[in-house]
Amino acid sequence: MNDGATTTAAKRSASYWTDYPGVANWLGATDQHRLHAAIDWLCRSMDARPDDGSCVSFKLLKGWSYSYPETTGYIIPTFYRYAAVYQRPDIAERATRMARWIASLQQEDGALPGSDYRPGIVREPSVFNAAQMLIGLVAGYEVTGDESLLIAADRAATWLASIQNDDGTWTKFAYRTGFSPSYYTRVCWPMLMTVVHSHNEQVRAAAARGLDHIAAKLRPNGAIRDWGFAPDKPAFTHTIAYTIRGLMEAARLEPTQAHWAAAAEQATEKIFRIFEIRKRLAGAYDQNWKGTNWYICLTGNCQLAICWMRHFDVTGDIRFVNAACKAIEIVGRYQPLRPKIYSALKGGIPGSAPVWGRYLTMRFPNWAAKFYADALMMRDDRLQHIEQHPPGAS
Amino acid sequence: MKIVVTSGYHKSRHAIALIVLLARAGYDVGYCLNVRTLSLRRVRAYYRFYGKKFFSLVRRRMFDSGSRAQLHPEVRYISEFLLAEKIKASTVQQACKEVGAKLLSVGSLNDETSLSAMRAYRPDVIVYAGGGILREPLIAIPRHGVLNAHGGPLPKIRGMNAAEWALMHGLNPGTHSHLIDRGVDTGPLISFNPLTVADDDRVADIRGKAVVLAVQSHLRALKMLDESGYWNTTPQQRSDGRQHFDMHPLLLGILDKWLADGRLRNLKLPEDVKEPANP
Repeated sequence: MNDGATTTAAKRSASYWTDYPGVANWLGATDQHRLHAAIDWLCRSMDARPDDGSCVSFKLLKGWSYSYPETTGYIIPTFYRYAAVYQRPDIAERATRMARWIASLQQEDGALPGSDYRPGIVREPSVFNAAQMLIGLVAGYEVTGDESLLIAADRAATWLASIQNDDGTWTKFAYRTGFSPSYYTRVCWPMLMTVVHSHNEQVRAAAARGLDHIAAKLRPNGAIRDWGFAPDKPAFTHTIAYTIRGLMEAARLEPTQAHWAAAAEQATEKIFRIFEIRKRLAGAYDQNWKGTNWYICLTGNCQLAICWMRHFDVTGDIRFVNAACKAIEIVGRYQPLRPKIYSALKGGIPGSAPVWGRYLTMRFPNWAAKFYADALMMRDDRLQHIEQHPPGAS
Repeated sequence: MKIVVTSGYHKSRHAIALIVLLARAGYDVGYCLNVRTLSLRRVRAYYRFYGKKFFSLVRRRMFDSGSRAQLHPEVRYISEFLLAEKIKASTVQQACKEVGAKLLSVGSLNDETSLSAMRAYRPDVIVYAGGGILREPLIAIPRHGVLNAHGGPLPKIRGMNAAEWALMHGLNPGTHSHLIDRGVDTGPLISFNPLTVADDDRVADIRGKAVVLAVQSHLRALKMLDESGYWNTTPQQRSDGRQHFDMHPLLLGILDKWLADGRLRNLKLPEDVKEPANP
């Protein structure tokens, strides 16, 4: 797939109009409505299949697709958080069902399956997907105290450590065989999350090797080599944010590893500046920060907003919360709240804006709604914190 | 002293006040470089920047010269200042006519029309009162430089919405006179003029007051130059401050809440704000 090279005049001009406020914005919907709508959409994505997974996406031409264990994994902490904030035990119960469903998919050697879930079909394991499921298993253990979830998480993390190459890369069970992308920081971070409870030193060492290898790929311009789905192709903001967040969160779990934090900081500040100057993010960027501007990768907007807010947590720099507010607001413009054709779209977030953009064309992925909900909840938290802490005033 | 004033749109009260008051103070205001409001590129850039607010802004700037606009605090202060100074001109064109200055409408301050007029006129100072980012060729023309009144304490608060960001950091807002260079608010500093924040002020009031203070800062800075023949400036290092960008309404809301609750009293001047006095 050519992610970024196609910039015909027609597509460029399309962006002039399609990144302007959508109809939803004129309805005066509050962000609370938007958050509830996104969570309701995620619940519907779970109810669309008989298993306890969340469907990978809603396709405009085909409807709901199959359940996706990978993203079901990282929707779990979103549900738990929402349930805690809005007193919704039914949503927490859904999250626990999701975690147990993921544990039920574990293979003999501890591996977790890639791709979508189709009853009766055994999928090949996947490094990245397994790590995202770890996030859900650990969250499930932390909330319910169910030891079986932690055991499943530790087995999966041990499997990840066992198939790692000596240089810290993973080339087996990859999205592209032989290519170990930099967004695998988001493999290492969930491994370290597991270690917090399992204290498994073999897993910790493997995660650190992986992160060291990726942090060394930082370029002087703040980009990190290989952070896209393919080498030498522009990276969607989705995978750029995966890479940054992985480094950032891993550095918080292992405070002595300052070089992980430094790499994350450099990339975060660079993309923050690009966003503030251009007032929008491109859908994808190449290694020289040349953007593919005719579409926006909406989930990337939400994920980067989350990275900026996490950066604020460390530095206290309110400019990053300010940028996050703007990036989240842009995404909200594309969330249908009163869809005229498919009621199933209500509350979902398209992969791209315009919907025919390169990232998940004509699809509403479950992780876009997940990251949007996360970003809204985090933003409210940060704003509340700022409001309660006026600067050295009386 | 030969002076040129820039203007971002044809009803800029800020530019009108400067043109008239500078002429009254005896300066030779030869030109006003006015950037045309209606260019597709500009409209697009503003829409991206302001979003929905763009339409009300256009209405306010282009069509409201009467009472409705004057009720808005951001406009009220400068309108009252114009009345107090008995300035009757309501457009830059009228102000230019009143003082005998030439009005040059340009697509951009940096375009060839603007550059060739300035090269021919050879001004001593260009007083910046809006119109977009300036490029090196224009900055290099005036003998003493391009004078700007930045809305917040430098070098700490650079960039957009400087008064708001100063408040957010607990610093006293005000206008900082400085010379424009290639960077964003990184040029040599002349003097800081703190703004008085009253108990019942809100963000919009502070913005409105800052516009008036900017006019007064320009007059003060030019008087300094007139008296001693040069500005005693303090250079800035790029690393001394951070660039700020337009503030999101949610943060503006927090500022208004703080102001209403009286939680922004005792605002401080940043330690590195100095008052370089001309001998």
